[in-house]
Amino acid sequence: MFRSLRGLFSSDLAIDLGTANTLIFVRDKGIVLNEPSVVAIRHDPGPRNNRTILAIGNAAKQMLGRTPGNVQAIRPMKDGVIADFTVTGEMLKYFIRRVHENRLFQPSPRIVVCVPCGSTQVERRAIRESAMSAGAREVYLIEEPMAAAIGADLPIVEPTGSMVLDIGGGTTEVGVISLGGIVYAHSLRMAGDKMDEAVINYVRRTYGLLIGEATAERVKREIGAAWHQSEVRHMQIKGRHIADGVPRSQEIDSREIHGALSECLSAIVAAIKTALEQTPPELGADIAEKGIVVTGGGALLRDIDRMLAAETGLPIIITEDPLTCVVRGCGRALQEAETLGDVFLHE
Amino acid sequence: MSEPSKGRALGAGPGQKLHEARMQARLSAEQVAETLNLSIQQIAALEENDFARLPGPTYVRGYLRNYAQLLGLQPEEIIESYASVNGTYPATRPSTLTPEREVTTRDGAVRFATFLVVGILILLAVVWWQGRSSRSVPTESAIQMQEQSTDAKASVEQTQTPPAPAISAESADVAASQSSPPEVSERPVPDVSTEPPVADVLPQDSTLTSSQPAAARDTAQLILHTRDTSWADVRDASGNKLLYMLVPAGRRITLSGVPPFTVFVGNPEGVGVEFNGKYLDAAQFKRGLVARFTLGATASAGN
Repeated sequence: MFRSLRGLFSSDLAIDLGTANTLIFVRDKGIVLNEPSVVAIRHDPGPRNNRTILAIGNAAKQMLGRTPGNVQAIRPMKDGVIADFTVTGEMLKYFIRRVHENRLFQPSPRIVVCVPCGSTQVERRAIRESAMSAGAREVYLIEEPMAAAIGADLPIVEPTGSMVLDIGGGTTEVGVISLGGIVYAHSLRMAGDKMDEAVINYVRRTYGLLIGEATAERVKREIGAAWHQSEVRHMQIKGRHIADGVPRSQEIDSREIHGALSECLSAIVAAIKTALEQTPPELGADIAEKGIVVTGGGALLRDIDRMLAAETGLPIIITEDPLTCVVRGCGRALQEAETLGDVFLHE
Repeated sequence: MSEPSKGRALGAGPGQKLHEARMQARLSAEQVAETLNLSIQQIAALEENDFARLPGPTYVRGYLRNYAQLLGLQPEEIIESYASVNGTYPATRPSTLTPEREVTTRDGAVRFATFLVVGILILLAVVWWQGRSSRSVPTESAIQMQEQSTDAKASVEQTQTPPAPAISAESADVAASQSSPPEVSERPVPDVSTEPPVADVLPQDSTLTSSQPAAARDTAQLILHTRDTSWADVRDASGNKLLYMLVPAGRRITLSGVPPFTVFVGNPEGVGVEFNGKYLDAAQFKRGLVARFTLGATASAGN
């Protein structure tokens, strides 16, 4: 009863609980929070093994790989789903409190959270419970391809097929949507994180240099390219040499990174091809005419549109502001539930 | 080679610019269509600004961006010129990406609001307090008036009864057994009416005894002490009500009349009775919740 009362003083939220970043959209306001999904935890010495949260978000991300023994910077989401239930709940609670305006009452909002389409019932339940433990009054789940399509302003309620590709941090989602429903969807656990890993492995194998996740991400962002004909760029990286054990610096170029990323990229292309094969012919024709819409952080990889266009033979459209596309879609689903119809997941 | 030249520039938009850039780059519409995986009709629609023939704004922006990149133009400029014609996207753009500033108690507005609320509360409390004190004065006087009137009535009753004959002190108990008519109030009637009733309750026995005339020596005095609020009903030998009221705690009431007195006390634990210089606790007569006893009949006989 008190929750519903407190709900009068809370605005509805849409949350993109991503592997890499968490974004929050407040109804009638827009996106108010965009922070990395990272939590730094300090283990207090003592018999009870107390854990206290040191930092969340940007501050915690800077600690990744730079922590002393008693501090642990962790990413509670892995492969698009919850890896550490309690820490995710704490992180959500912190974020919700930060965007909550009314200081007098505790927040008790209605929340829309997006989940990967391939997630199991247990994983969905975990996300729902986690949002509830963060103080939500009601939790609605929406599948990521649907949220991405709504966010990209595709004609989802019309009888025409639209294909959306969302390359996130933990998962890559391919979905074909028509008449407000998902016709085909596939989730691939091969996305930004796997690309970083591929860069780390490549640098270690080729130059015997150990680099961290943060450096690998920087390399991918600055010189990473998806297309073999992309302009070549160079970059200096620093890491620990395996044989000497001392820090060394090394210059690498974008062709090498393209080679390192090719395995991930070909998996994504294969997923798109499978989706096109599985799509009914009428919808396939619509998609062939209009093209594939690409969202998510992966869409920012240099020349990924050219590579996908060359591989699939279809027009590739990168949405405006691909990082926030999914959360904007969640927010619109929340605001326009009447016009969009029932786009939420029911278990 | 079918050039999409006819009916060009249907409206304002980036089409003209794209067409000129394509001509400069010496590319045919077919080549562009093949590179962008679009149909020649779609390229023509883009160059003629005929966006109704294209799927939707999201797709059109994507096509324009790809086309501009291919021709070496600035994609942002092309998309801006499209948005100026078909400005749907900026409207749905999210408001801000930076988190809103947190409001703390140190903020001026919050402080002002706090002081305002506290001030209003204090003001209300003062108004209430003043209203309460100004109202309490008339109510107290009203009670006094009431008490005075009852007291006066009682004394009038007493004066209306025929005066008792002067009986010697030795025959006091005899007179009591004969249930002689009640004794006239020691005090003159006008005196009682002017005197506040509080004086009746206050210890005045000394003045009473001193002012007592010798003729009224057969009357006896009963002093009621209350430690706690209690109902008290005291009647003299002829059944006149000497006291018939709820007595507040901490009072000492002196009553005089012809014994025996019939006493009824509602809260025996809180009442003590002094009769003939002897102190009795009403609790010893307690039966049930109340006590009912007679004093002065023969010594002090509990009823």
